[in-house]
Order: sequence, then C-alpha cells, then structure tokens
Amino acid sequence: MQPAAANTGPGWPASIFDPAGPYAGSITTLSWLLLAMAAGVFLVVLVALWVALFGKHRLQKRLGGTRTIWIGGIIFPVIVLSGLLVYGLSLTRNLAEPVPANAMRVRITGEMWWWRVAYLDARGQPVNIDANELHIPVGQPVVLELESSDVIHSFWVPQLSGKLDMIPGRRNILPIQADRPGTYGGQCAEYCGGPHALMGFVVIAHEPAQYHAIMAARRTPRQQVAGRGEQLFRSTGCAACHRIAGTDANGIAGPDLSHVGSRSSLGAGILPNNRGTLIGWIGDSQSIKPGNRMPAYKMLPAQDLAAIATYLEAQK
Amino acid sequence: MRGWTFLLAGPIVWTVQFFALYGIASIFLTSTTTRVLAGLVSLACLAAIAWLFVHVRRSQPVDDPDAWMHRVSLLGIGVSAVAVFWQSLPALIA
Amino acid sequence: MKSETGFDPALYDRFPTEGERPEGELEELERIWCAPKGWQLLAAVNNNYVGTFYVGTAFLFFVLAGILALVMRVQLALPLQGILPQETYNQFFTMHGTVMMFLFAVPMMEALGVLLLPQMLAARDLPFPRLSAYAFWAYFFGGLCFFASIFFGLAPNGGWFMYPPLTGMAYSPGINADFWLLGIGFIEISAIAGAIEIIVGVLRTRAPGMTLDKMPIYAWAMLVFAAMIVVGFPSIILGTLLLELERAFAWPFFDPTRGGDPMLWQHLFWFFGHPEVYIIFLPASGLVSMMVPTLARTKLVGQNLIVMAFLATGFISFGVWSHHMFTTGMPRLSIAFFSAASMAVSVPAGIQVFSWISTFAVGKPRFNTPTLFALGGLITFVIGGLTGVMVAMVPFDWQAHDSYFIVAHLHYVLIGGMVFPLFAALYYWIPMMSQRALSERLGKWVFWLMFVGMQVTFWPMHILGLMGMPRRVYTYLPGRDWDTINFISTLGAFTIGLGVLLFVIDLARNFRFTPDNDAGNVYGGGTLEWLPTGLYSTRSIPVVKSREPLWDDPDLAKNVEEGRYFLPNSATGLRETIVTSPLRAEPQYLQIMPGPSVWPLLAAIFTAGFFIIMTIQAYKFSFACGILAIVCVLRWLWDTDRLVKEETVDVGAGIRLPTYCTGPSSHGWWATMVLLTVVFMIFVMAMFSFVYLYGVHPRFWTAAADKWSLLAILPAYAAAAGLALLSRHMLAREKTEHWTPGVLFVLAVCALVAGIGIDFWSWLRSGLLPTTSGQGATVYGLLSLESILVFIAVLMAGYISARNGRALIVRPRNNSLDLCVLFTVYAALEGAVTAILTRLFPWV
Repeated sequence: MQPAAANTGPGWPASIFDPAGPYAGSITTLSWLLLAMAAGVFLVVLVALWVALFGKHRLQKRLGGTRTIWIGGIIFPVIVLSGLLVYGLSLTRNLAEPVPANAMRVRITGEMWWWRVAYLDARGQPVNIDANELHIPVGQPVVLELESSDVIHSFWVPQLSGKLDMIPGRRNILPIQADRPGTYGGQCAEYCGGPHALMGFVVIAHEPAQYHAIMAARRTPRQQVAGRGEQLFRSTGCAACHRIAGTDANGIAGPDLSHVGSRSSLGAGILPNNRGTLIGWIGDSQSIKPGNRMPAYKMLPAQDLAAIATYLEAQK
Repeated sequence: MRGWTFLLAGPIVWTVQFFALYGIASIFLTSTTTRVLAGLVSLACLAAIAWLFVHVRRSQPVDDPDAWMHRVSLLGIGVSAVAVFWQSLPALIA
Repeated sequence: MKSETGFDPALYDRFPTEGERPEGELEELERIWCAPKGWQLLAAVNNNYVGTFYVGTAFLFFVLAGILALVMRVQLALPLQGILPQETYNQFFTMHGTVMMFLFAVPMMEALGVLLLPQMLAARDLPFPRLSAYAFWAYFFGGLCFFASIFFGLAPNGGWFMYPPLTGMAYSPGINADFWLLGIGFIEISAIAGAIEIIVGVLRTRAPGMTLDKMPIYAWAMLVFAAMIVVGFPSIILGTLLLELERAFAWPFFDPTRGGDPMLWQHLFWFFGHPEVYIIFLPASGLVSMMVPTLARTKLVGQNLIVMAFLATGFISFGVWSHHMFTTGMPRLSIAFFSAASMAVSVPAGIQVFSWISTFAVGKPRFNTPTLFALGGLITFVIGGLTGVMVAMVPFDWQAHDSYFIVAHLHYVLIGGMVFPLFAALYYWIPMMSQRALSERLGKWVFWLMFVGMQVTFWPMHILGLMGMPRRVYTYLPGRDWDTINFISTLGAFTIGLGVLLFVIDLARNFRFTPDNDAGNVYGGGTLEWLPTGLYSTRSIPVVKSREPLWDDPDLAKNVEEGRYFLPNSATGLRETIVTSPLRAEPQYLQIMPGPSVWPLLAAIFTAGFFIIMTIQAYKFSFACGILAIVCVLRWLWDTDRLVKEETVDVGAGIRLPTYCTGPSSHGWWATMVLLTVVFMIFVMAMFSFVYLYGVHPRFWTAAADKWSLLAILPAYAAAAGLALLSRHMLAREKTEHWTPGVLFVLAVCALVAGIGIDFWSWLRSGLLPTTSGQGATVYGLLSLESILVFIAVLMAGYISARNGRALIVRPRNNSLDLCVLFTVYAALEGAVTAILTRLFPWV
C-alpha cells in the first residue's frame, strides 16, 4: 500500500514564495530581487546577441570591439554584483543575529528517516518528547538546536526559514518564526540514504494561548487504560523501540509515541493520521515507506492491529 | 619565471588574501579579532595590487610577445583588484 | 625580437626553404609513424588513434549515463511510481552524477586535448605518447568495470558526493561504496596522467615561433585546465584514500565520536568538486573561442581578455568550494568570504560571453550546426551563470540548496557550458578525423531537439525547487503541485534523448575514421590543425608568425606539405618532435619519441585489475595484478631515455639541434616537476586534514610524540637527499667508477627507508594507534603517504641499478638518474616535514 493519491502529508504545498514569518520572508524578498536581476541581465545579453547576429550594421559595428567586453563583461557585472554583494552580506548578518536568550528552544535530532523532537526548558533539559511534528506559538522566534544521531540530514521548512544541516558531532542553531497560525510542511533536504524521499516534517503554529494549552495538557499525567491494545503493544515488542510516557514502554530507537494520537501525520509527515492509515502503518509500514527501520507486522490479525491502533489513538 | 610571476601576479595576490582570510576566520570564527586581522590583510593586499599596477605599468615591453604579456598581466591585476576589494567587504559588513 | 634561450629568431627567416626536398623522405615518415594493423592496433600510441578511442569511450559513457537519467525521469514523471525501486533509484542517481562527472566530462575534455592539441601546436605527437595510451586504457577498463557494477546491484548508492557517515562502514556495509572509492580514485590517477601530458605538451612542444601571445586560445584553456587538475584532484584522491582507510581499517577520519569530523570530507571533496566545474567549462570555452572566430569569419575579439579570464578563473575557482556548504552552519564570516569569491568568479565568465557576442557582431556568422550549438550553449550557460550568482547569495542558498533549483542550475551550467560546446566541437572537428563531415541537415535537427529538450527539462526544475522539492528523492508525494511540472520535465528529457539518438545515427552514417584522407577544413579555420596531415601529423613543422597562420599566409599549407619548414624528414630515423622553450617557443632540442608498445596497455589492464579486484576483496589476485602492473610500467620505461648515435642533427635549413637534453630544460624534468606538484598537493591536503581535525576536536589530541626521535629521523632524510644529489654529482665526474652513481643512489634510498622506519617505530612506541583517534588516523595517514613515496623510491633504486648495470646511465648527465634523484630529494623533504609537523604541532 503506497500512500493514496489524496495523502500528501500536512502543510503542503509549501512554496518559498509564500513565507509565513520574518526569516523566510526576508529571503523571499531577496529571491524576488535576484530573479528580477537575473531576468534583466538575461534580457541584456539576449538583446546584445540579437544585435550581434541580426542587428543593423551600424549597431553591429558599435557592438564589435573590446569596448563591448569592457562594458558588458566587466563594468556592468561589477556594478550589479557589488550592489548584490553588499545587500546579501547585510541580509546574512541580520538573519544570523542572535535571538533573545529567553526564546523557546527545541532540540530536533535527525534520525534515519524521522525526527526526534525535544522541547527544552530554560536550562536546556527536555520537558516533552515528541517526533516528526513541532508545535510553536506564532509571533515569536523559536530556536531549534539541530543535531543528528546517525548520518547528515538537513532541516527544511521552506515557509519558515532556509535549511540547515544536522551533522553528527555538531549542533547547529536555526531560528524560525511563524507569524500566522497554520500547518507548514517540510522535508529532509540532505540525502540520507534509503527512503530519504519520504522523510517529512510538520510544523504547526498556534496562537500563543492555544499553544500553551496544548503543552499544559501534555504535562498533566494521563490515565492509562489497561486493555487489549496495551497488552498487545507490550507483547508484540512495540515497547522495545517506542516510548509512551507514563507507561513502562521505554524504547528509544523509534519515535516517541506519547502523543501519537494527536499528531497530524504518520510515517514522518507522509500520511494523514487516521485509524485506517494507523492500522496500515503498523501492519506493513515497509510497503508504505520501504527501507524504514520498523518491521512489518503482517502476522498480526486484523483485530489485533485495530486494538493497537485504538490504544495509540488514545495517546494524545 | 619572472615572466610567469608577473603574468599571474594579480590572481596570486587574491589567492594570498583569500587563504589568509579563510585561515583567520577558521581560527577566530566570527569575532572582532577576525574583522581586524582580515581588514589588515586586505589593506596589505590592496596595497600590493596598487604597487603591482604601478610597477607593471612603468615597465617597457620590448617586442610584441612582451607587450602582450604585459597587457594580460595588467588586465589580471585589474580583475584581481575587484576580487580583492569584494573579498574585503565581508569583514566590514557580514 | 629578444630571445629566451639564445636562439636567434632571425634564423626563422630561412623558412620556407627553397628547392625540392629529396625523394623518399615522406615515405620514411609514413613508415616510422604508421600505426600497427589488426588487433595490434591496441598497441598504437599515436595521438590520432588514442585520441579517437578516448573521445569515443567518453561519448559512450555520456550515452550510458544519459540512459540512466531517462529511466530516473520516467520514475519521477508521476508521484509514487514504482518503476525504479528505492535502492535502484539511489544507485542510478549516484551513477548518473559520478559517470557524467568522472567518466564523461573530464575524460572527454582530456580526450579532445589528446586529439586536438598536437595538431594545433603542429607537434608530431604529445610528449609522452605511451602515457596517453596508458591513461586511456586505464580509464577504459576501469570505467567499464565500474559501470558494470550497476548490473549486479553493487553500484554505489551514497550520491556522487559520497558524504560520510552515510558512506562509512556503519551505514553502507556493502562493497558498493568501495566501488566508488577505488574505481573513481583510480580514474583520477588517469586524469592526472593526462594533465601532466597536456601541461608539458602545451608548454614545450609548440611549433617554433608560437610565442605565448600566438598560442591558440584552446591551448591556453587546456593549460589552465590541466594546471587546475594538478592542484584540485589531489584533494579528492586524498579524500577517497582516507575514506577507504576508515572503511577498511576503522581509522576515524570522519567519525566524530573518535575525534574525526564528517565536515572534513566535505572540505576535501568540494576543494576538488567546485573547481571541477571550471575544469569542465574552461576547455569547452576554449573550444568555443576557437570556433566562434571561424564561424563568424573574423578574429576573436579580446583574445587577451579571454586569456586573462582563464587565468583568473583558474585561481578564483579554488576559493569557492565552501559555497556547497553554506547550510552546514559554518561561521558566518567564513561563508561570507566564500560568497564574495563566488561573485568574483562570475566576472571572467561574463568576459568570455561578451567576447563571443562581440566577435559575432564583427563577423558574418553562418548559421550552420556548430554555430547553432555554440549559440545554444551561450544562451543556456548565461542562464546557468545567473542562477549561479543567485545561489552565491548566502540567504537565497539557504532556501535553494539541495533543492531542484540546484539541479536546474547545475544542468544549465554544465549542458550550456560543456555539452552544447562539445557537440559544436564534434561537428566542427570531425572532418579532421573522418573521410566525411557529419550531416548539416540532421545536425540542425539534433540541435533543435537537444536545445528545446534541455529548456523543457530543466527550466521547470527551478520552480520545483522553489516549491520545496528536495534533490535526490526517488519519489514524491502527490498534492504538492509538483506533479505537472515533473511530467513536463520528463517529456523534455526524452526530447534530449531523441536528439542524442539522431546524433548517433548521424555518426554511424557519416563518421569514417582516417588519419590522413580526411574531409579537411570544411569551416575554413585558420589554425594549424587544419594543415594537411598524415599519421606523422604535418609533413614539416611550420614557423608560426600569427594566431591564425592559415588565414595570414595562404601558401603555408602548400609549403608545409612540401617540407619547406622544420623537420621535413626524420632526422634520426626514429619518431621525434621538436621541443621548444615555454614562453617564446624557440627550438631547443629534438625529442626522440617511443613507438607503439603493448606494455602501456598491459600496465593499464593490471592497474585496473588491482583496484577493481581489491573492491571484491580478492586481495591475493589484486596484489598479483599490482605487481604485474609495476613490471609492465618498468618494462615500458626500459626502452626510453636512450641516446642516439648523432649528438646533434639538422632539423631543416641547416639549423642543428641536440638529440639529448638533461636537467631543468628537459621535458622529463618538467613532467616530474608537475608530478611532484601533484604529490605535494596531496601532502598539503593531508596536512590540512591533520590541522583541521585538531581544530575541531582538540580534546582527542592526547598522545605525546617522542620529539627526540627527530634527532634520528632528520639526519636520515638529510642523508637520503645528500646521497642522491651526490650520485648525480659523481656521474658528471670524469674519473668516477662505473658503479658509483648506482650504489650512491641505492644508499640514498636506504636512508629514506631508515627515516620512515624510525618515524613509524617512534609513533608505535608512543602507544598511539591509527584507530585510537583523529590524531592517530591523521598521523599514520601522513606516515602512509610518505611510505608510498619511499616504496616508489625503492622501485627506482632497483631500476637505476639495473640500468647502471647495463651501462644505460650515461655520462655526464642522464635523465633516468636525474629524475629519480629529484624524486628522492622531494621524498626526503616531505618525510622531514611530516616528522616535524606531527611531533611539534600544536605544542610549539
């Protein structure tokens, strides 16, 4: 089962020309300027070439000679490029300005082929663990600490900022900001082997009040219902790789499932999250995202899959 | 050797400047030290370019091949002057 | 006119000579230069044959990599297709990039150099014909074996950029990555062999009177091209070596948990990888700069500006490697420096474009196939250049990097900058090699299909990238507005494919190889390659008085053909060419050239065997091949460097030149110096790696070195250099015993062995192992490089002794000894620097 035609993962299309915050926005402005520059220069070259080939003899005479090279190939580019360079350098400086020290921080760790998300407190300790999805409040910068636990990945949510690599042994800092609530799709941009093509990410921006409500709800201990789904979750070995807060499921190899029921997507931003896709994913994730690290559970009967799904759906 | 040195003089100055700046920025990262050192190196390289320009300009080519080399090295110095100038901007702006 | 070597330029006035040449000279030239027939053709070393094989093989790889691209485009035509499974797609895109860059673009440019340069310079052949043959065959066998890996599912799948840790043992346990590292690492060696050949060829085998200002612009491009290979390729050779060491023996160069750093690979790779683009573009620009004047029937406008642009590109392109790393989180100021350099490198490109436009304006262009391809290339390249300026702007690159925008950009640059010029060149120069020119009618179809196909394929990819589509994806999800654009792109790709197919049909119908009975100067070019030629190249070697001698001297072709210039015959009865001085091309001596030989071919087969068999881990066979390769190389060298009975000969008009030359003005010395530059650059990159890893993870630098061992190591190396120089000195002395130089040289090499031996011993005693840390890995890496040099010096000692025994080391000077001494002195220096750096850094 491949993701069906209607399933695209939340937050798409995500063009850089539709920025949702200041970091992406200033790059969009630059992009338009660069496109205009490129179009203008291209037009100049085309006109010059046209005159050289088909123009009036008088014009051709003026074009033929080293003066043309001096003007077209040296003076003109030097002026245009000097302007661009100054603008580009000052923009780089502004975008790399340090963000306020009290800004919210989240550590995102690239894994083959999903993302570990840890919301950090002021001391840099993780207070809430999640995967493949990030909730942020609008109107304020959020600092992402980008790391990797295996190979190089690259974090890219085009509507919120440019991309930044996640490199083993290093920590990169990327500020993002959304100024309007919404869902923004992203995808790994550095080739990381296997199903690199299916390593998506979702950022959901909320009004601050709503954001704080969500986070507060996550912090209150949840009533765990012992049921068939919970038993199966343990007996089939799910807990070896997955963690669910407040239970003895403590695996850390795979995505944390404490809030999987509230996630907008499955399989790292590639499937909408509903009962059908959840059952399908548990039963045979290999046919949906070939090469991912989760084995297929085809041997489980349908009612067992459904029971596990019910249990997971309750993990909000 | 002398012929080649002057033919390549401009780009050589750029190369010296570039790798000096790369080294400085690799050691001192984005800091005021980097900016100051980069500025000094850039000034020295701009001065070197200016000296080269005057020096090559003054020398008299004796025949056609010589005049051609002379011209190419002047052009190289000119383009390198632009490149060296651009190379010194980041320390001021970025 | 002033003189460079003491040669009196007034002597040129003796040409063209008067009177008939004696009978039989031409027949003798034909007999001396004839190529072997039948299956022995494989032993041919004439540049016309080797060059044609070379171009053909490179074109084959273009077609093969193109087919991979078409299959990938089918997979991407619609979302979530299953035509290529994930793993196969990952192998396909890795192979497409790798084959296009390493097996098509660079070899094709070297191949054209081998084919065209001797003709343009009116040399009889390149200075080291057997080296060309070796480089070609090594590339041929190595390339085909490498490509075949895809049929067994063993092709590399880590991307053509091979970033570790993905390509390390932990995440790529199969032998796929080894195929890349050993296969490509070895083909780079062949590229370097070609570069040495081209540098010495351009600087030392030009026709007399072809001063630097009169040198064809293509030769300038090739000179800069080859110099860039010499400076740039060592970086990737070292990189592949380090990564293979990490994979095979767990030396942690790139492993951050043990003091390595994955970013080191990116620096090494892109220090080669970005200049690579210009390495491909410059020769193509040289070709266009040769063709445009002919096609427009006028001289090139701003020739000196273009030469300066080539030189500036050659330098500045080495300052842009990190613009592939803007998104890695490097310090802001560092990337700003690279951004500035990326701007600067676009100025020379602009100069070239406007020079061509201006030349077209002066002349009266004919709209034949080469013109169309040149114009199509110009327009396409300009678009690629402009998007290049865009991605040089750091913030824009943060969005565009690793997206389809880059895929579009790089294809515009490479297809516009290299592929279209290449097709123009094929149409333009094939009449030089073939009995018939290619078809103009078909050619126009080929052009329009390829040009339109190119725009339709790649223009939409700009948009895809800005809409968030990353590169190197084997599929994509629907509903992202990418579907239609991808479909259009696929249609375009097949249009290009159709164009290339038509070209192949045109080739099959019209290309008939011939070294002497060719279609000739169809387009009316003015440079020397359009002189009438046979296998011996031109009958006599003209005195060059302008940039387009054929336009300026209408009698030139006739006079050359009648033997009224230099070397109208074979002066010694052997293959020979005139070696001239580097700046003013004044005749210096007559080089005796080797003839056909099967040894370069065998050496190439065994070298390829050594590397390819090593990937499949059959080490015994692999080392057996390695030894056989060395034997073959020594056997081919054995015939070279011999005296002929005439000390000086008449090369025409009573001008006498020596037949043997030693020391700094010999071509062998020059080639050795270029080779040592390559070795030195590998060493520089290794020192960079050492210092770099210390800078990243100083806490892993724990092992203290035994500084006192320097007191033993440095004298050993000093003795090596001293003894080597002494052996050269003693050879020149009248009274020296027969065996003295050989024995001294062997002693010098013994001292070298002692030096590296003590160095190893002292490090092993310190407890540091290569697997311990980044420090251990880089220290032993540097020691390994020195060991390779010492190993070569040991081979040299054996070779020199054997030649000494056979009285081939002649007094007072001998090239074989000279060059081995040169190498040994260098090895001693490198060894000394290694010993000092590893012990005194960073505790000075």
